[in-house]
Amino acid sequence: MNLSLAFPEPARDLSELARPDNRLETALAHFEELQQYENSPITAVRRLPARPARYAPMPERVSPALARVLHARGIEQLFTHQAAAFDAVAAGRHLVIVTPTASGKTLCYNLPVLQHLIQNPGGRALYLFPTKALAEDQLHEFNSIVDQMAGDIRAFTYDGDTPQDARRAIRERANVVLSNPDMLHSGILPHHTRWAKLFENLRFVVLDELHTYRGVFGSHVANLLRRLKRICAFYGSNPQFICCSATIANPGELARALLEEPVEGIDSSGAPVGEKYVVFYNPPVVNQQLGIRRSYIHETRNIASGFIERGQQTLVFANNRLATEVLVTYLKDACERGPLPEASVRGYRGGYLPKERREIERKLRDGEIRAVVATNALELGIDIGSLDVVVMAGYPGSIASTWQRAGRAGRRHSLSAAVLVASSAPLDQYIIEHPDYFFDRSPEHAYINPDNLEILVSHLKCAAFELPIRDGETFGRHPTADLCKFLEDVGVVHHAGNAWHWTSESYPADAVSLRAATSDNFVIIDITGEPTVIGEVDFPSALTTLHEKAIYLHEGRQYHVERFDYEERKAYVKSVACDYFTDAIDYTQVKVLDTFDTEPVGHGARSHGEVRLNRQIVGFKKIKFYTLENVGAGQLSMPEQEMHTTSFWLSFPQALLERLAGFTPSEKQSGLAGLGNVLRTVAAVLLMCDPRDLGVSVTEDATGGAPLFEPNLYLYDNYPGGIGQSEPLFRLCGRMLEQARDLLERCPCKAGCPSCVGPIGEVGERGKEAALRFLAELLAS
Amino acid sequence: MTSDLKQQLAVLRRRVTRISNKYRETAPAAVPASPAHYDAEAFLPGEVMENEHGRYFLSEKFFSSHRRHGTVELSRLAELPAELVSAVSSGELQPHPPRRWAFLDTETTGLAGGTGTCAFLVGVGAVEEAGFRVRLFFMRDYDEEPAMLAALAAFLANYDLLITYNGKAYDAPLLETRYRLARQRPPLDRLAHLDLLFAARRLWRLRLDSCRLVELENQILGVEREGDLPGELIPYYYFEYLRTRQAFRLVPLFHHNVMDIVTLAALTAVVLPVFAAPSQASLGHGEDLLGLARWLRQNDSHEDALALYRRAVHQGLADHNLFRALWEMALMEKKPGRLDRALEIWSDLAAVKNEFRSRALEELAKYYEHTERNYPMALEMTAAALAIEKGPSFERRRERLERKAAVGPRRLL
Repeated sequence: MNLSLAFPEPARDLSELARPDNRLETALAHFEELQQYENSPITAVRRLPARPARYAPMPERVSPALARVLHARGIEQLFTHQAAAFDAVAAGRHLVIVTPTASGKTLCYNLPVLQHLIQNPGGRALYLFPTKALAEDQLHEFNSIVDQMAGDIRAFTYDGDTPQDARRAIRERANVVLSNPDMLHSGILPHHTRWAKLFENLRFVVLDELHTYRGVFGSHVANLLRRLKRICAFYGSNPQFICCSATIANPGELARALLEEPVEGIDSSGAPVGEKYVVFYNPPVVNQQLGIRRSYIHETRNIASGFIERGQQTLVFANNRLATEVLVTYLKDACERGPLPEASVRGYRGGYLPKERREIERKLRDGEIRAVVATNALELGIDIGSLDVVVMAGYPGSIASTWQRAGRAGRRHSLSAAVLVASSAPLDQYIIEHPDYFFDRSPEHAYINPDNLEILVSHLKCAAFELPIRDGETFGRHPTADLCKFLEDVGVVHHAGNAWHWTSESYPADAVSLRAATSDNFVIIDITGEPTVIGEVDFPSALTTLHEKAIYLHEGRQYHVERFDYEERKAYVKSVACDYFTDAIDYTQVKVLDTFDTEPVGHGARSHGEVRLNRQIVGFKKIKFYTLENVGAGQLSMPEQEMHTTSFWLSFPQALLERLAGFTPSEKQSGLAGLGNVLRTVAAVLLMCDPRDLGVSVTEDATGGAPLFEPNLYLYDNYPGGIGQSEPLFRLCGRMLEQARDLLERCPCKAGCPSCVGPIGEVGERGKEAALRFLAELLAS
Repeated sequence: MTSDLKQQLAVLRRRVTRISNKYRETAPAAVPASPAHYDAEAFLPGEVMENEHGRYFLSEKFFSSHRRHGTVELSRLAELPAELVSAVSSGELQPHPPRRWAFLDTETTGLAGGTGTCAFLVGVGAVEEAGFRVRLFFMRDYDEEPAMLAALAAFLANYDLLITYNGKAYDAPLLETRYRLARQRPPLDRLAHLDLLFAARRLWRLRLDSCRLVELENQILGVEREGDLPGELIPYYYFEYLRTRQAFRLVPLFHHNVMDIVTLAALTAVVLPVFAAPSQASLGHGEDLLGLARWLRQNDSHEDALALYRRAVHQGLADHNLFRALWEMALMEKKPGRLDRALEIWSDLAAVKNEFRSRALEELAKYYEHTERNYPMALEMTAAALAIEKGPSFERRRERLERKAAVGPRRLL
């Protein structure tokens, strides 16, 4: 380096010569050097080598018109995975493409679809995305190709935002309909006769972001696809499915489970990848006695503004809205003090209005915006081009999502970096201190259980509404006779001729929500001047961010919530300047309403039944910017959120607790918490659901260790009304306990890690030991 | 898997029972224990018919010409000229003589819409030489739907014009869905369609709270329906019939449908002549006349419209209707240049408290400023308007007038 200063080589890029220190290489070299020190905050610097592009010639079958447009866009040949996808589609096979971010996966489906539409002007394709924003984004992408072609190919999004008067034309005329599973479920399939043109001519169904269809949501989508195929068969079409997935452990398995048909997998990307570094950063300890580390938010700000000042386009991920907005504020402040205008830092998250998001995406691609702070809204494939650096404030919670976020950085031909800044949460601390655990493990598996009876039955109702169910018909791989007899008993179908007919006034799709979250949104109205809508917030977040007296942060600006109108789903805010933000305090409690069944298990008991979960926002803290001091608090009387659901639970009677005499009450509590974590992991595998579909709760020791404390450990369905996971857990209890013991015994960690009872910081020194003792008690004969 | 499924189903069944027991307020109504199955024929005039799709049930009800339905004698229908159809649709529909009209109404398994809602009973009324006949096409069970639909299509082939009440939004799309699902050609495509709801709303919306068919039947025709089935119970009665096979449950359903069709026909006999010859319409209510007048105005028959407006005002209108009618009249008088008449109305409107007062004053101000060039008078009108309502256009007018008034009117020397 120094030599090059003395004997400068001819610079290809003048700016590089002018600011030699601003190159990413220099920063990374600095990180590598720092890592050598004792107690270095850098716990890992891993280099992922560059991979050159692998090309395949443009298939001859591609029509000249299409080839011309691609040529005009600078695409003369395809990456190998794009060509492989084109061939597999031509061979009529269903397909799942697993490639990293920014590898040109969109062309994998747009190419065969466009090819088909050029040859068949009346052809139809249905694209499904997990979010409306993605559909909107892909519409722009698709239209940018179509606009350059002479033909008359029409694509439209169709979702809740589509104006009523446009819907008819879309149904009749759209060659490509871009929608989401929820709309297919409640808006399209139950009205399929209006969509006759689409279904008669449906050649392709594209499922993008396939990895999001896992757990209960995935089980719903699998049943939705059963209904879709049934309707297609009625109209005589048999569409081919093209799926795209981010990297997970089992994309092929997931695609086969969703489609219930053979699926060809393409997982070798031909796109070039520049060299990339992944850096783990653990904020230094500032108080040895209390083990307090420097705030990860501050450290993220420092690291990110370092990159921004060096001119590197930077994306910062935060794990929640609050952290996002706090970081936007900090980085805007930092910019104001520096040479960059404040507007070159923006926030990006679900609550922003679509127009605002489009603008941010565009300016990011143009380079006008130098840094964006985002929630996982940007984790999915919104097209923002590629950035130089990703900084993650906190561990995203799973290996797959960490890689996906890291993948947001990465020029095809130059160096990029991803920095993970750990929070003090136990899980973060474990990951950051055990880099090998992260780097050597495959990403998580995605499981679904399309045969979950309650999900299956609710979709069978919808199917009966859509078309009578013929005798001998199967739904997925299920014979329907028994199921239909059950529905007849419930009074919603009736047998006549040789089919079961829907005989209820109700619209069954309305009773089934594919996702746990309610779609109710709160609108935020700024009443500082003329009332204007500045954004919307989903239901659960609204309660914690828009309660009265809260400071709501939007784009780094502060608003005081004047009035929270729960009934009308509105919050009225006024712009203020203050030096604090608020953080809500919530409290959750489980109460058993009805025990369906209970049996002894070892020295404890297992049960399942109906429970009520109460969550209430009881107050809030005022926290000062920068110092993060607690500068006040407030009481709130917010409406209590109540969820009735079903739960499986284990009971620990006094006699059993006494047998763990060597443990203190708090060690026992930790043991139960650890047992909850390991049981959730095992249960998710047994039920083929996502761990997030199950909630875990342990009765809190309100007695302060008094002798009468007999706790329950709940594994409840994280869905209002329950989704039928508790009864199977009750039946499979023995197997679940044995598998949990196996997992704990085989886990090489000493006292807990995220793969078993949870990180040691969460369950304490003896958490794993206590959990094993509890298991032994439950497995005792 | 199968035995596992059976076991799981049993659990689910228990859970459903548990939930429904919990929410049931009283014990379930006892279903008559008698297993007797009754044939539809035993209770309803009509017979089981058969075509290439299978069987269905056809019932008929005949009304001889002299029969009255409230204030309307059904024989009036046969005498209506074919052109009325064009008139009421503002020329959108071709003329069709009454013998080519089919009055249609469906009874359905719900209002949810979508593919899971079924029209189990379709009544079609038609004018015959000797009177009015309603035919009811009925499916005794779901497997009779294809035969019923085919028979309905064949029957409708004898007619050119469909007359319904809210059929454009409801019955027609629903039937179209049923035909598509049965893979049969929908017969409605080739029929012209007159949805009487639109004309009825024009005529009666200002006076009546609701333009539902039963409401019009009562208010316009003076019929008190006795023992009628509330519409929301209809699906329930049909499902109960399917479950129990007790055909007596069908009697009120059939009656309800027949009454709806006869009322639709009688209302048609009232509505069509009114729209065909508005100036001769013998309507006893100012609001009805106003509704008709507005329809004429929209169709650019301004002079006829004005005549009806005057009749409406003369007949008497509720205040809010009256002032709006006057305002509209003034604008219509102004358009062809009958400023004197318009001025008269604006002066009336300016004299009393009403929502058009400031606008009437503004019109008067315009008149005094531009036509009379009487600036002090114009200024006075503007000031009066400003006293009622602040507005930038009033403000600007006042400023301008104050300047002009100061200079004084330009006069020839």
